[in-house]
Amino acid sequence: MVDLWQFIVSNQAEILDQTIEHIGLTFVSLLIAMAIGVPLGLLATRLEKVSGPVLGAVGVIQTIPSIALLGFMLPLLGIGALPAIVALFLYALLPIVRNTYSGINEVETSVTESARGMGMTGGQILRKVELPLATPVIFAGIRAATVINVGVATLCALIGAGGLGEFIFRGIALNNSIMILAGALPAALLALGFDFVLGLLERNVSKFLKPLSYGLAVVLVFVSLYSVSTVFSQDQFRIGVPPEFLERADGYKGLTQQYDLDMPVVEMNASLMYQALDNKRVDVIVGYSTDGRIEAFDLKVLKDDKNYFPPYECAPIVKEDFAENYPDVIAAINKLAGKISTQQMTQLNSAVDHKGQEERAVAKEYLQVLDFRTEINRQGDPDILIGGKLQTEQFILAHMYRMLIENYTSLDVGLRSGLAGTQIVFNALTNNEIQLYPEYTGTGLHVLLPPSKQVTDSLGNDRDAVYNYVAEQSLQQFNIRWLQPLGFENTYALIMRREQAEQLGIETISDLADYLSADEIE
Amino acid sequence: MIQFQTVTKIFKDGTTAVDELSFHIREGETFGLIGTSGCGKTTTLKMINRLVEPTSGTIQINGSESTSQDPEELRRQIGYVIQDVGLFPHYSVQQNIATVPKLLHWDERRIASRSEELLQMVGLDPETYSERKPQSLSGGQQQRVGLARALAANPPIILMDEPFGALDPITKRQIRAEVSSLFKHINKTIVLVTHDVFESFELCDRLCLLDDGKMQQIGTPQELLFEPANNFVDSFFASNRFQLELLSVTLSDILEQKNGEGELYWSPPLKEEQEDDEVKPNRTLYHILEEMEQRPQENLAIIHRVEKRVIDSLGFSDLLDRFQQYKRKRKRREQDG
Repeated sequence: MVDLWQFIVSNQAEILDQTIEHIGLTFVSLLIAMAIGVPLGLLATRLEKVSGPVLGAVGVIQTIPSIALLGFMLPLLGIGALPAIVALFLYALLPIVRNTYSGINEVETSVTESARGMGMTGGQILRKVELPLATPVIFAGIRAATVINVGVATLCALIGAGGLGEFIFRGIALNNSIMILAGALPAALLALGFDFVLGLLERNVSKFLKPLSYGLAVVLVFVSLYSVSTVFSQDQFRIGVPPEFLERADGYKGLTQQYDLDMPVVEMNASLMYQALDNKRVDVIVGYSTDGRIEAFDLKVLKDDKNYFPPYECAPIVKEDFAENYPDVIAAINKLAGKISTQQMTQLNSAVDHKGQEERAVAKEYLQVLDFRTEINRQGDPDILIGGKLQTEQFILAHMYRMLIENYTSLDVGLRSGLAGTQIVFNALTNNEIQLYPEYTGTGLHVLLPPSKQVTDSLGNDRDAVYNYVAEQSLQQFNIRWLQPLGFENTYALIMRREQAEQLGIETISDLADYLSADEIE
Repeated sequence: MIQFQTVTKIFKDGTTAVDELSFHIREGETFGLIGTSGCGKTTTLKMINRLVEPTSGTIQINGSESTSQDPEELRRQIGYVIQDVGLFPHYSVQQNIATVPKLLHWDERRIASRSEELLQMVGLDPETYSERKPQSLSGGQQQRVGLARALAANPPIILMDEPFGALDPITKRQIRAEVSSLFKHINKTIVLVTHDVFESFELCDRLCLLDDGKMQQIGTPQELLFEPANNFVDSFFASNRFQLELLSVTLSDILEQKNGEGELYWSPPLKEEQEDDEVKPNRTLYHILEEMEQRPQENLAIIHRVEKRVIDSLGFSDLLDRFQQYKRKRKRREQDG
């Protein structure tokens, strides 16, 4: 509690910014949804033919998982506030359209018939009879949409739209519950607050409707415009950074100091970054050097000429007591040691990301080329669970290990891949929730152990030195054993579009820093 | 006042609701549209205020074709009362009554005094009820407000579609009686749709019986009853014939006395005559017999208007005898004619 309070106090400026962004996203989308949803609902009541398709369509939109909807927005609208607002608008549409439709339809036919019989025109019936009577129902729809939007807006941090989701996702990636709470608590309070205020309004809607709705609309438009303009008005060179990298010891802060880099940061989901780079929504990303999309999108990895990033050799890790109890499993796993080069791993990733092959099929084919047995495929209750992070490579490796263990031992293997963030996977391992996952030496050094700066400096860029230090320390501190490395390295890397990099003559990270500082002077 | 000329209505689904209907509704009369459900009576009514447009044929109102007018303008000149009342739940009683006057841009003061007057007319105390919302009123009170609303702008024509259909029997009777006397005072042309033959006999001057969209007969209740145009008309009233006959025959019918010869009073009325005790010659036999049941000791006395002496005195069975005589005579007349 005290920690949370301290965190909030020391980050109050950022929380306030995020809150304003959050309100902005919620209400801009809500206003658009109201402006379109209410007339759409009315149209559905007037034309029975339209009502089915309209209500069906908005209903289907609602069933799309919000994270998937944001994913669909990405190739169309890129990243930032625009796709987020469009997605939120689509979510807000259903409750508003449906409640407008049913609100108007629930007005008793005897009432509208008598209105017509008395000589009211269609417009008069709508304004004086139907809308006033349907207002409570329509308002309830708006209220529901608001609460939904406050919640879904947290996801918008994934596509660089800002909002309170930034802390939440950073917190998830780092397994930092204080940070998650610092984002989740204000979001929950916002939802409750809006619900309460709108609830008050709803009950007295007839009395306050006119003056309040005008006032509210004006205030909201201003807040919205302000907050959105701050998000939109970035046409400089931008860098897309996954939340985990922002907070890591070998992360963004160190990188900017080492190279004297200075450019606006857009926080976004690691798996959406490449797409965003390809769509020119950002110009540089911090990605992984073996990612298949580097080949697929024709991207360029900038050379780390000042050796900022430590080596990231990939090796499976297990608990020491597990290694002692299951020597045959260790033997099976070690069959793959030294068998995958960085280039091969990139190709395997590309086969999945670019060519759309299944991870399992790719893994199987590669093992067959290496002349391993792959026939056995057990379906029973798993004896061993293999974990993995949310990266294509980790999925492929998990499948390879599964096949090896099932073919060379008598055990059943289950998969728990796709876990978000190093800390989460590592904690799962130490808590015996999984028995094995592939980790990277650089990550082990900076995230799991963090030694003093002198130690990291002394290790430098020496692959073997880093591996030995990490293996030794992990055993001592966590009782974790690092098995033999697979052979490839997957380092963090600054990645640009090849075309733009060549056009600007940027080969290394220093080139990029020079280009940016030169740009500033102009 | 209202003239239907070979009016036909065929709905989109192909059903013929009204088939070549022609009739004339006279100014000031209460005209009933009756028939079984689905016979086209409501459709016929709604074509008068153009809530339903005829497929062919013309409807003239006050000599001008209804389609020549803007439908909204037309409706503002025709009162409309429906079974479910359809009061606006978000308006007060007063605002509900003011609907049409507001549409006609009356000034506030005129609207206020008119709604007060109307509330009194339909038997609701303006001070108690003006500001109430419809939900807080009973079904009968709601229908009274509905009636006041229809009368608000003083339209010459009032259309009523099963106006008492949703009321319980006691309230129905009471309101029907009040409306009946109200109609006699306000001199409006009223078109009433009902499936309740007793109601139509009690309230209407003339009836139009429809079946399957076609007119079967048009005439006074007595004409329909005693001179049915076809088997359908005859069988339509068969199950309630006796009661309906009593309802359609008035005291003056069976007494056959010349107008102005005497006054009718419940006896003993000679001293301390009371308004209540006067029996109008146009009262139906049904109502007189009904009342007699409650006054078993009293005969109906016929008193000379000027000389104030009793000419005749009639008991329950005397009245029924005379009623039978009247029926026989009618039948003879029919056969002769």
